[in-house]
Amino acid sequence: MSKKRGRLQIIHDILGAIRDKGGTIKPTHLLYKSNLSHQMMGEYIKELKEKGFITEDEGKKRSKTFSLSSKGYEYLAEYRTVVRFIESFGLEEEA
Amino acid sequence: MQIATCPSVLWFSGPEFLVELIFAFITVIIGFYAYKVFKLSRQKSILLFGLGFLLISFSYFIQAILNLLIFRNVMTADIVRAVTGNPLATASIQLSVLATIFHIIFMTAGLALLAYVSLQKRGIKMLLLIYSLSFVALLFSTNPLLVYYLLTSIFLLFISAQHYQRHDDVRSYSTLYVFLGFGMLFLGNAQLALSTSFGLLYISGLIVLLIGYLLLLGSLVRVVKK
Repeated sequence: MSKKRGRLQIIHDILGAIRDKGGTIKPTHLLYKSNLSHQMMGEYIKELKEKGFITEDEGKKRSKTFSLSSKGYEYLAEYRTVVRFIESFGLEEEA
Repeated sequence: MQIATCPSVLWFSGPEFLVELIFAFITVIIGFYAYKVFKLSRQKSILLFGLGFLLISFSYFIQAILNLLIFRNVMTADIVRAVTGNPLATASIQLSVLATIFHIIFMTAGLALLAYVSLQKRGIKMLLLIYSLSFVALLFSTNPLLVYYLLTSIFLLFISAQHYQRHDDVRSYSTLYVFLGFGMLFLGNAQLALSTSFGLLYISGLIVLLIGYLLLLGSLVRVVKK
């Protein structure tokens, strides 16, 4: 059985999915790529918008898209360092 | 609260100031880096970890500055004459007591926070319990310096044990450095505690502490450079 993904890993996967689509993605694609339930996805999107990692845009024909902000790109670049820091100093969040 | 000053060796006062500044510098680097990681991850445990190191840094910084002032005072006055009423030395003794009080408060607060963060189950009640027990013990003790050394030794032993367990699970150089770093801090702190009876242990204690802080810095460097 595969190991349950942690919060940071899920955030990394969501942001990575947006980056791999050229920085902008439709909600349905993101839901498929991130492998989360609709409810969980909504919670993470809300958190990522609040943190300024992504922005919600109105695309053509009023379709909604999510775009990666510069802070989101920074998170992806620093993700490995963040994980190594947490692992080295034993700072994982409680399950 | 009647308080004795931290034991020190007079001729070592100059280098002691530099060593304390190095401690302050290393711990502030770890604290600020933890804050940088917190800004990206928003994990509360990382913020508390960083805050713990910043409190420790502050304790060393204040002690280093006050020790420098004491060193300058002592250099300009005859110490024997001074203890018997020379105003310069009276000021030195007052500064020394002040330095010790600040050092004890901030170091205890910082290490208590690091001990709390190293717990697997955390909660605000647990943190309040650790803080209230620590400061009540310090405040109502007839020998606060001894209580301080006992408390900080227990915290460091506990943190070292947690990191040993962690290293046993993960088995990486970074976790090894962190375990050895905190282990050295425990040994150095224990030597400082015993230095009230054996003066030279104060110097060896500071050297062991320096090795401990350098190991923690080494772990951080590995994390950043990898």
